[in-house]
Amino acid sequence: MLSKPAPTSPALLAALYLEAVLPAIPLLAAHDSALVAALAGPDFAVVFSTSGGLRTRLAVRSGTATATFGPAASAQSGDIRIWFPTPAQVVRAFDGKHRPALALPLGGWFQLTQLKRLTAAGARLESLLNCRPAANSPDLALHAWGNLAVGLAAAAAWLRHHPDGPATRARLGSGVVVFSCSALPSPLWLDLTSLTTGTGPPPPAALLMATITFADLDTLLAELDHQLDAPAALGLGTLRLTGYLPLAENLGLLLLKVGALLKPN
Amino acid sequence: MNFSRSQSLFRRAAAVIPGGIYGHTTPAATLPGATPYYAIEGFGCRYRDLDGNTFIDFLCGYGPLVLGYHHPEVEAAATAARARGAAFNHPTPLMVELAEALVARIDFADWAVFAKNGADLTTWATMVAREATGRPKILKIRGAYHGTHAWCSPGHGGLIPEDRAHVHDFPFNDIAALEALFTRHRGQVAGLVLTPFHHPAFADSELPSPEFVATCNRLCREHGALQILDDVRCGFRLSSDGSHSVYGYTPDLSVYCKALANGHPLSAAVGRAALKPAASRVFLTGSYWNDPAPMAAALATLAIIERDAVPARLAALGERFVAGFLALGEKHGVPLRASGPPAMPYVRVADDPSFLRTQRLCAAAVAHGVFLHPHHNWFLGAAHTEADIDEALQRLDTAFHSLSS
Repeated sequence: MLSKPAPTSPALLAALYLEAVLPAIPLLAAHDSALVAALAGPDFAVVFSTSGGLRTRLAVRSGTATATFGPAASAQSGDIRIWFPTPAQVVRAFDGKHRPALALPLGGWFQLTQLKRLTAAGARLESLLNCRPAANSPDLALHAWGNLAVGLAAAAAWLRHHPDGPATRARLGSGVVVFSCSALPSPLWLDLTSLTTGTGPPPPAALLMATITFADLDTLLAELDHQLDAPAALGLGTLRLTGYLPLAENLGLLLLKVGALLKPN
Repeated sequence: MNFSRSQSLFRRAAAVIPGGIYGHTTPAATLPGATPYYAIEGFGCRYRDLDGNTFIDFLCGYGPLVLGYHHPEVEAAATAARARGAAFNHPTPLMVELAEALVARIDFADWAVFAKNGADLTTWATMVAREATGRPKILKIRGAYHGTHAWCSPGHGGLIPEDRAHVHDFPFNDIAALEALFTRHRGQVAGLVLTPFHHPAFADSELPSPEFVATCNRLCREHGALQILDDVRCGFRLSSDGSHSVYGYTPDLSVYCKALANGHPLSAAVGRAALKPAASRVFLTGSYWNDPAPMAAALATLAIIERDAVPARLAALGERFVAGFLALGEKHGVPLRASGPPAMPYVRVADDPSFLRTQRLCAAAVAHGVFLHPHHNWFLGAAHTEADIDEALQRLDTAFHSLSS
């Protein structure tokens, strides 16, 4: 539905960055050597937090990165702790516009230099997500996969934090939507019951389920660019949708909404 | 079953038509790749697709073919009218004859108007309700389909919040929710838009409880709101005089379309005498709305529905089909759930909230020459015979076998 866009709350945007964008670093690092190289070095962990309980912990242990957010992201001994006095400062720090942000280090003083690795990883993530690789580049699939993963995580974050989240969630239902494409590293899914996202096989025993299969990267990229004639693609078979179609359709609307928040025109 | 010609034509279509095929007939809403995309000809209760596949049809063009494809009497009437011309500068006498026929047939109707599609007149009816009451609010059933106009479209594109600022919905059969809406908007409700029974896509059909019907009647009366019955899908299928009589609704306005002219493009709205002045003040027209051929088809169709007691016939055929279908499910160990009136049944696999098994079952049915829709209620037509039903059930038996093999 078209409407005059309301000003987006900084808290919501901060949630999208902390719970959808930052966790993409470990997700993509599992498939991208440049990200691995950026993160390489001694073990370290950093917790970014701000008011309203928004918090994300990124950890690198033995070369493997992990991300947790929300209550599970409690700071542990030795973690770097970065506190943003307001959600707006989180947005300034992570929205890619390279504006100065007020961030207060509250702990992990001796590890602060490790943040340079995270800065490098962030730059690689930004490049992977925002710069469309050439059609023959092996990075193209990762670019599509990463954008889809961030979109799904952002949809989950929106449902957790937007005031309309509960009503939207009630409309969506409580099922699992799976996105797959043989060119991608693995399928991606969003569980609307737990508001979790994941890769690989979806959680078992989901009540409602819709599976969206893109025949090729071109179709997925067209969808990510909002340039896909989806009904035509469904008829042509370049897009397949099985299961509870309204679930996929309504999630598509939410993905459009969060996409506009993260990548405003 | 081969759909290569359908798919080849669809590739051409996708290049020059948004969606390839848009609206309710889009392949996206059914089983893309497992159903035909284009039809070539119909005869009785069967139709042939572009690839030459023939189907026993339980969708009847999503409702219009109440007497079957190419009914000789209806086609003769339409052809005779067409031979005299189309889209004249004036209506023809057929318009008056058809209005008189509807007024004579429908107990509360004192006048009738005509358009082409259901949405033309469901929307117009809400405007008549606003004109008659001077109020803005329209109440409707959540998930009910009333057409493609902005106040009710099930789509999402191109809408603005103002389109529905005065439209409020409630769950079907939910008396408390309906009462709450009337209370919250006291003195503001122009009309309550209902369907005779609830027939949403992607869900079981739901018959109205007597208490719900009584509450709708009472609340409209008490609040001075008009009751608008969207009888587009059900009209003249459940009863030859409109579906309100089946369930006990007391509408002020009713809208008919699908079965009205057996596939010829025509819709009608009827109303009570007291609303005639308001109706005359709400502008209503369209380039082809006076076209005589569909009106001739409607006169013939209505006469046949009455003469042949078609609603009773559809109910009997539907009972035969649904009972046979459920028995097949039991035989093959596939629990099925049937809903809706027998003339407009919907059967799906029970405990299948994602419709995955229902989709597989319908795909198998189509592959064996029985056209069933996995997400939309079905229709019986008077062209179906007991032998057609039994043949369809035999084919479905094979389809069930194919699923388990």
